[in-house]
Amino acid sequence: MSASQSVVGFVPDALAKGLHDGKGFAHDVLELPLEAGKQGTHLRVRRNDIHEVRVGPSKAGHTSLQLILKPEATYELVAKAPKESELLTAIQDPAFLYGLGRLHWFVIYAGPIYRQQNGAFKLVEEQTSRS
Amino acid sequence: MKILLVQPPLTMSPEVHPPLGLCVLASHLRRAGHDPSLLDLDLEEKSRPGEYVQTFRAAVREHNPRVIGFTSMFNNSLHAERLIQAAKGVDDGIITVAGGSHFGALPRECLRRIPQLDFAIRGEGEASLTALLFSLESSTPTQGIPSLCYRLPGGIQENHAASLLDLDGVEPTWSGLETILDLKRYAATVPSDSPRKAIYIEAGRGCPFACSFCATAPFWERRYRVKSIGCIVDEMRYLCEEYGYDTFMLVHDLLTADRDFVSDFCDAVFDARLPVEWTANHRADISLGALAAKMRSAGCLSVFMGIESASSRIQKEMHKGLTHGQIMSTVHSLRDVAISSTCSFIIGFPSETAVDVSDTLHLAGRLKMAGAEPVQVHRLRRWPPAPLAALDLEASFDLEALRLEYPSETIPQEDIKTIEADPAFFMGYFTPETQAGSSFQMAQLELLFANLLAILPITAAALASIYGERLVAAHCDALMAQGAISRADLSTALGVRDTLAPYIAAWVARDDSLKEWQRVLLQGILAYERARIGFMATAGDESQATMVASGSNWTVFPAAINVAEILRKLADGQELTPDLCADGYIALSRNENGAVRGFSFGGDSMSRLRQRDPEILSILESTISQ
Repeated sequence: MSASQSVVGFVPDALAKGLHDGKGFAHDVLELPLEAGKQGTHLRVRRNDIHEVRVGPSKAGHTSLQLILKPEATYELVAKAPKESELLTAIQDPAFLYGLGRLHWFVIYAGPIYRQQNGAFKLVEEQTSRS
Repeated sequence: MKILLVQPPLTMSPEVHPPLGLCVLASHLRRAGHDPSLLDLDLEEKSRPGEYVQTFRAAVREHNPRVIGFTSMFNNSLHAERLIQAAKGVDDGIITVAGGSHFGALPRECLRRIPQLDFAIRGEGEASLTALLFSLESSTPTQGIPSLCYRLPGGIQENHAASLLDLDGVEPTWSGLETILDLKRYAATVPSDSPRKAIYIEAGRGCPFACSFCATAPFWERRYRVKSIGCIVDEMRYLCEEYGYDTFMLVHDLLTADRDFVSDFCDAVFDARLPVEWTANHRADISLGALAAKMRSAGCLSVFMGIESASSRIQKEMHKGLTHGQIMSTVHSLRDVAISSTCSFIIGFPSETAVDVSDTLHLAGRLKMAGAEPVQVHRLRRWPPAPLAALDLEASFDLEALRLEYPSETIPQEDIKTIEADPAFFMGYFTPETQAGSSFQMAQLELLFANLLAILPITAAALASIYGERLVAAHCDALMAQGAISRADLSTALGVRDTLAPYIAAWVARDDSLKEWQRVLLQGILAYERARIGFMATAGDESQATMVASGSNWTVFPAAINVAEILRKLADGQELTPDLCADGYIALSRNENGAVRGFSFGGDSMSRLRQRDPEILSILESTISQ
């Protein structure tokens, strides 16, 4: 069985439909959140690097997506997290995260699977939670 | 042939799931041309508590079956026994057959115990029950029916074992049961505010591993089998579209043992585009690699993993052999793709020492801090046909173990006496002796840490980290000094907090072996967790009294510890150190979706906050309320 690399994530239903129809690319780069409805972490994939867009199930307005990438494709992982200020340090108390699907605070780096796939991980952007 | 399949009362939970084993059996019998009916007394008990025997008698009169089949888990086999007796009371000509986890594991013993029982079936029941019904219908002998046990004049006869079903050819269960099972009644038991509507569906049977404590792997003869992917997806689609179920607990001892199957299954669920999620059993030493992300994209919500022990010696003795590296790596990799890990531990193996158990609780705390949820602690129990159940171990009756699982809140004295009088049959409620401590001490340790890990997890992890291998010994000292904890006080999160926080505070205050900074640290963590629970539960609590600033959806209170750094160290498995005792403030906020966030701060900002500096209050509010 031949294997190809892919990345997975969740996008709003309307965007998924557009991508499926080949009309969803407003820009040359697609930002693919790793969790439904969460903007904390996303993958940034160039349009030209995508071989196929596979659209999966939709739940609560967000559709599961698999992007099958071309053999030499690379992608970037972007982590948005509150910037540590001199004033405040975020407390990563698991009690805040319980409730299924609330693991975004832990997904602030590329997991082993992404590193294994093409080694393209790097932190390319950090946004502060206040201006 | 008309057969009534009966599920005795099973749980105290108001949410009832259809009896999966009986549903699968009914579906099989129906396809074989029989006429099964199903009576779920677990469901009926919710509307008529305490009347299951009367309900059963009425159903027998109404259905007038020729045969009644009874299933049994270990916690309700005494109820099943009463029902078997009641069946013969209604009509002595009714033929009674028993199977399921308990009766199916000990068929000879159950015929010995219950004179009114005519047949028992060992292990997998489909083929044997079908053959028995054919035999009864055609008045042919029962000698050749595989896995069947019955009485002969010379004693109990047990026939040769049945070959296992080929599950790949099994048809979908649920769509064929519409006339005998009202799924709407089950769906209606799901609380209206529940975020999910979950149901068990069978994905397959059998685990190839040989863990000494496990009863289900030998029950299915350790042969990994799965239903066809098309069948499983069809069942999900049917239950989703017809009854609104959106979460499926895939029942299989170890689904991920075949990664190729799981990968193909994920493709099928993804392509089916069903708006559903699912859970499955996994083992920490099965490397999922990129499959984890694929599982998540196909709706995998969480996996259950038995971790059992932190001790490599105990891991070896139980024939499991997990390592810390495998465990941590698996929990981290699942967490990275937002799949939740349920991690289960067992304490009280016969050769396990207090140090082993301390190490296990330490690992449990670390996993919790690393994102595993929930983390469970159970005492070792022996369920036949687990290999451990065949060993001749010193064991004593354990009322607390029975209380944990009994289908009703109070256990009649008569039931306690009956169970206590037959240790061979009810061995699950006789806990084996362990070097780690007495049965009472282990029961208290289980009760304490199961609840701490759920409600006061940082306290649990910090206690385990600070005491290290002395944790169990220190708990025994506290137990002697302060007395036992009562399960009755731990029925709600606030109840756990209000019972266990003072208990731990008193423990820490009186323990001279602790250094002063350790005491300050533990008390500081307790104070933080008490305030957090109060804030999250939106109940009036002591954090209000110490609050220094607040807004409509946030609060600030003082702390004597650096919570953010403590959490990081506990998750990384690093030792806690004196510098973590540092005065500061904690801010908690809740956004419009109810999600809670927390921040700590100290230094110059503290004095400005004490003076209620408008600038700093403004920064605080704008930051934490986002």
